[in-house]
Amino acid sequence: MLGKQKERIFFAVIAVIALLFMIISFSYEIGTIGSPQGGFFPFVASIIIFILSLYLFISTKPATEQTSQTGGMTGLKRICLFIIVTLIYAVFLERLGFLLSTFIYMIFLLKVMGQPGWRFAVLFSLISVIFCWVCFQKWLGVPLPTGIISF
Amino acid sequence: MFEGLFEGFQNVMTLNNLLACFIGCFVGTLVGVLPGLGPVPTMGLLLPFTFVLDPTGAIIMLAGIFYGAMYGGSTTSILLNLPGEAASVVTCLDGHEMAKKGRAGAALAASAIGSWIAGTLGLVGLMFFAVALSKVALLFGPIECFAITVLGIFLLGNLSGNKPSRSFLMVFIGILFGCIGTDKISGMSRFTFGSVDLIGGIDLVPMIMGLFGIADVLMFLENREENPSLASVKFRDLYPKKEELKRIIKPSLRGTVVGFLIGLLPGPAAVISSFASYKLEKKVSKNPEAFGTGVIEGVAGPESANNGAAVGSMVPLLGLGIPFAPATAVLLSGFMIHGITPGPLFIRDNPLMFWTIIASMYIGNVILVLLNLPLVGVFASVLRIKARILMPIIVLVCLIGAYGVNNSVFGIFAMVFFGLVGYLFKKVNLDPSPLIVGFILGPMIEIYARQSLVLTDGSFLPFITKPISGSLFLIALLLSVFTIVRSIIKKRNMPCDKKY
Repeated sequence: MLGKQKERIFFAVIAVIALLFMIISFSYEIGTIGSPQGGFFPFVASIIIFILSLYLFISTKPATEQTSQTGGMTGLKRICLFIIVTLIYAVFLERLGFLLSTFIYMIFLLKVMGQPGWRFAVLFSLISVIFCWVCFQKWLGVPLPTGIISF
Repeated sequence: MFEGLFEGFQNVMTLNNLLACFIGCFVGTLVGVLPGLGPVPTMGLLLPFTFVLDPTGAIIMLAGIFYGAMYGGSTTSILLNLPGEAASVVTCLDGHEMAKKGRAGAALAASAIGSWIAGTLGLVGLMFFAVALSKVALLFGPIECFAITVLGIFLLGNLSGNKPSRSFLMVFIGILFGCIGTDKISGMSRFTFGSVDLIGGIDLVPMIMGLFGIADVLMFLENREENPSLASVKFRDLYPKKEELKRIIKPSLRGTVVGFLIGLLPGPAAVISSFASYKLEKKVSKNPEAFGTGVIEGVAGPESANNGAAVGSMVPLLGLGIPFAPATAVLLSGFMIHGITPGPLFIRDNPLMFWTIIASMYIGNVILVLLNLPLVGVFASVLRIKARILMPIIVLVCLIGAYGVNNSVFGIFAMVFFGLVGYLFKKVNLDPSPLIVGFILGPMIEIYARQSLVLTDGSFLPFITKPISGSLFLIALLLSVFTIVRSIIKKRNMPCDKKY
């Protein structure tokens, strides 16, 4: 669990984002109460979010208790690695095609999730990727990208 | 009414519809058994794949996942003391104690029988309530629709278990996300920041995948904690004794009524109703002190209540076209994907589809009992799959789902973004479910609000003077006053509690 201090930071960030959305809403036409335009509704929603997050920021008192940090930096590193590799996967998905890119990505996933050994990871990735291809592309008709392997 | 139901049964008896019902119930039970993968992300995941089905088949399957998960959720609660679904948390109290005493089979049977009673009787309520509500809803104009959605948000905020301010925050964040894209009235692009992909708005599927599926994967990555290993349970004594069977019936009936009525209200009805039913059973019991030590009433009551609530939550969706729970919000998307807009006119314009869905739910309840009693061991064995294997499968299916919505990698980017957002929400104890409801209700509320204000020329008086909208706003006002008074009383009592 994050400490109360970090919860306060979170609500403060939400308040700032709401403020930004409020300002952007002004760039669209707000209109009048009798004739509300496109900017009216997001403007009202942003104001409510701003007030609520400000209230939560104030009402969340910074506690002095020790908060248990589970996972720590190693966990955070794994999360960052997962996100970066997933974004790289998305970039290369259409170029390399579903089969090749997903096969490599699945091996990465199994390793980052803590699967020991390579033989199982490679075999499991191969089977699951082929199964998904047949299931989604052939049976359910989801057009998955073929990329460099086209058949 | 019964003529319609008969036609519904005739229509559902096609291979496609029966298969859709079976797949929905099977997948629902599976995700109910697996902790972490709930019915909402699963339904969202299967949304793009329902294109291959006809609209009725698609809704039958999605609904099957929803109520099927309520059946499966109890399995892990009883066998592992690990609820597969939030709605089955309370089942752990007596269900797992029964398992410890060697009565796991009886507890599972009580859960399945109770769920079947609630599912079947709840459907009778759904038939009457939805039809009656849709007739009343024909009197609804934009002002009344606006009033009922506002009341829905008020109730959601107050019933979500979280602090109301936190739930409201999530609802309005959802509403703001719903504003991204083209304004449906003026055609203006809003908050697209020059991105062509955002012109059509954010898709629900990558959002659900991210907030629920990927966020859970990120939580696992943080600690990489495996589930406790499954204890081997003999299922020889699966059927409850005569005396136990007698004790199941009354709590199941009470649970059905409690669940169904709570299901009509916005919020996590299945969770609230299971706790309410447990409390009720304890109150009416001659031995309330025995609860928590393995009492069969403590399993049958809550398990029937969460199923009753799942059926009850379909009433506002089918009668008004307004989803009050995340699962029914996804169901609404399912309708919309197939070009059907549920609303006051839905039952009048699509009677066959309505009655086919109802008939499929009757059949689904029978399928679920058959799946959950003899095959309970098979489903429970799914838990033996290590999380380090299961998580990559979840990611893979999420990726295909997010990509498959528009055949664009933008869906994957959106999913990763919402995964991160969902992870942060979990870290600050914010439940993302109200966000989904806000996201779905937001565009509806905007249209109703703008139409109403144009109709009244900016005057708020008709909102109060019209009988239906006035009553709905009065309920919302009374609810707010009640919440404020309750919190003041709670704060005043707090120092006294601390003394002890």
